[in-house]
Amino acid sequence: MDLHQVRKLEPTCKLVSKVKEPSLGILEEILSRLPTKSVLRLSCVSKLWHSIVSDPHFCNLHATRALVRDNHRSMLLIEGPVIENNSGTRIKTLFTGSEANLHGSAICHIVKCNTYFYNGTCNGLLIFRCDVAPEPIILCNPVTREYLYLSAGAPPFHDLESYFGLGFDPLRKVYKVFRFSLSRHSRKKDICEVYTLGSHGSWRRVCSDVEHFIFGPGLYIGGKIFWTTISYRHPYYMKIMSADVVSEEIRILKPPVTASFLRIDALNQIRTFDFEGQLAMMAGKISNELAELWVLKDYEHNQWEHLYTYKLPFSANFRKTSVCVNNKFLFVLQPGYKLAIYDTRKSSFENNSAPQSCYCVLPDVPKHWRIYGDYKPSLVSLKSFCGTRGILAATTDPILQGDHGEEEKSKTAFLRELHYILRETMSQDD
Amino acid sequence: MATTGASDGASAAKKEGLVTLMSGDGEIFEVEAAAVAALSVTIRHAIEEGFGDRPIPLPIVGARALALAVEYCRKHHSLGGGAGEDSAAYDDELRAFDHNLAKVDRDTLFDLIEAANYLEIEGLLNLMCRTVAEMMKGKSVEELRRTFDVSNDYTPEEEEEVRREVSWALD
Repeated sequence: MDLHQVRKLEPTCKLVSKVKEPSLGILEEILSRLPTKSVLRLSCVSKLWHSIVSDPHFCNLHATRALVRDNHRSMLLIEGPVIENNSGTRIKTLFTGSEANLHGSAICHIVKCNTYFYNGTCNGLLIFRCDVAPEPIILCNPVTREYLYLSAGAPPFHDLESYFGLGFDPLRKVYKVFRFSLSRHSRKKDICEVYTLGSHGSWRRVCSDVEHFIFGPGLYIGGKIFWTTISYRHPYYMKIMSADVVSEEIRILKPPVTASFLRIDALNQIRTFDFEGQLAMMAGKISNELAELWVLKDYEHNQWEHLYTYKLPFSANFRKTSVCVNNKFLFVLQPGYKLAIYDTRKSSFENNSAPQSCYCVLPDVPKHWRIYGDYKPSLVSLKSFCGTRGILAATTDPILQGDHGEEEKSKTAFLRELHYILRETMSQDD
Repeated sequence: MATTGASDGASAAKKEGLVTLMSGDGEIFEVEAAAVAALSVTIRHAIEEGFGDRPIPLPIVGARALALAVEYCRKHHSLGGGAGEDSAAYDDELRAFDHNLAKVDRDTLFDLIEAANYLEIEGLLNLMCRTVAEMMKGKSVEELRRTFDVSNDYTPEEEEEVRREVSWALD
């Protein structure tokens, strides 16, 4: 009301000089509608633009809008860790939105004296666990170059490794870390605890009757985190464990029909991943080099749907294999061997009972590589919900050139080949 | 409900259902109060505060941008929220209208964003911001500077430093 009074007093007939440059508020409005990668590029344009996109208010606005838009997934390439030489875990993006990243610069590199493993991603944050249980876990936003060492208390027992997952609670607008601590020896059941980021509290016990050994990272999909598990007391039974991030309810889901037959070696025949917002499972049949793709259609009723069967160019042993979907293409990567790429759009036009063959196969995949398709680069600042305690900015240059040995050369060659294919797949998109 | 309130305010004006707007460069526009009040929060408030019988001064909005913004309000007021069998046809017509409106030159685009922001016309602000955002997507740093007439005020060392921080985004 007062505002209008003030405006009324201004000489309004005066000619206003033409607005050549948009005002700061307007630039914020525009930039907050851009994908993260474009925003980062804008920071190189001028000091003014840099100051806008590094302003915490802008970052929060952008992160909030990006949450709603829910697109622009990137494909992560994770190199390492190589336990023998402890070269750390290096993360690159292969795809961002619909752009292929050509030079393969690392977005983050975790080098510590202990070995760290990637354990999942949520809204642009990555979580890493250490193979030595009492060591802190690491949360990282590669975009803002912030690292948080979360040492909020050792797990209740650590005769086996602990497993983690990261999720976002949209009701309270907080991030939660779920931790499963397993005990091989004690008669006690295993324990699931939750730590709310920024609470400066401790781990809260939410469930103490899980008895599953987890493999793979926690997949954050639609407000829930999913882990692939086997019961180490009954090692033939593979299950999916889920945690609802809001209610903190832990559930056990049955795998699809085919997968439940794979009792002997489930660990090596199953891979789960995010297929365009649904939990998907690739179940391999070692005998005939076929793999079935299932998606969880109905979480409440535990119903899966069989989408396609794929013909693999290698035996369906998924011991080190990673599977992901990006831009409608399905990638099955066997480190040290081959990468098979499938066009999922093509599959849907054809008879889905016949096994689908590859769009292409790339040989010479470097060792120790894994791929994930569900990373969403974001400007969300760890500081904005954790305070500054325990937050470290990346002090060392995250882009390490690596040694220029033969191995590095073959990696570069493989990436170049892969990017060529990726660009080709993208150009078909229109 | 807001529209009804606005019409009540405007009925006090001498010409039935009209409201007078004055652009920053002094041009006078007589427009349907119901249409602009339905879409512009600022004008709705001004009418509610009894501006209905006097020109509403809009100091930072130029005449050209104001004319376009008013056209946007009229079109969306008459076609928007259309019910029944016409609604789909109306949607198509609105989309075509928005598409054409967004084809203005770059300076007008920014003027329109300023106007939409000042007048608080959410739909127009969103439309124009998305249009500019589309122009920014996928462009290299040099292309961005050219497109938006921004001069590079980094020293070569500073620019190298910033580029290194975000190198993966520049691939």
